[in-house]
Amino acid sequence: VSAGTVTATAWTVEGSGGRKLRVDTSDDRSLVTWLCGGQRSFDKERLQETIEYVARLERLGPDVWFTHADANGRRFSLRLEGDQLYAGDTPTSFEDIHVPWSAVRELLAPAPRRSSEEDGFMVNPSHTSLWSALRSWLRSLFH
Amino acid sequence: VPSEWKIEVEPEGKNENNKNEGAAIVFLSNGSKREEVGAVAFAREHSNNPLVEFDDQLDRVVARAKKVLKVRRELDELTVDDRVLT
Repeated sequence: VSAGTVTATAWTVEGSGGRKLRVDTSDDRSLVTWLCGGQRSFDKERLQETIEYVARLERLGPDVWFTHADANGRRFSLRLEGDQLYAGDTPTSFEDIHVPWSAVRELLAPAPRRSSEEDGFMVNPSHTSLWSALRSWLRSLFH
Repeated sequence: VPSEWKIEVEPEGKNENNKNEGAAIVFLSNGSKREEVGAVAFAREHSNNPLVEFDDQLDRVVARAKKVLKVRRELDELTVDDRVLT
């Protein structure tokens, strides 16, 4: 691959009715095609911002919509009910089509893989609990 | 055509460097009207509640919007139009 070539990758997640959400990613953009065919384009910052707001919707509840615009100024609204993500041009233009948010989130922002070499002894959860148990045991010796 | 009232959260106000300098605005909307219930500043040091974290303040404003929405729906139910359109 020569310098400047954009390597594009497409991802899909199956949603309601067997229809699919498609995400085409390149180095600096993600093009999201909703189940109905509507498309929104995101730069990395706006995509991250949108992911953060959907995470907030988990807490705020199913009767709250997140509204924003994509990189081209095209508006969209999102709503989360359980693990199901609903989307529309506006909160009042929703169809009963949805995709599992956990699958979409993993696709858009894969969890970083941490190696034990990079993160050291304390970051590994199993090591952390082991260390915690060891500390508790050491404390108990001195009390 | 107006539909049922809904709560919307929308971030607004970005500067040229694409940094959030504005706020998350909380609205009630019904398709034809959009009414602002409150706003939560991104820069907490420039807010009225600088010691309250953004997410905590957003929770508060959305909780307030839910109360307003409840009252709004109750008022809609109490409104009676007995006319028959012919």
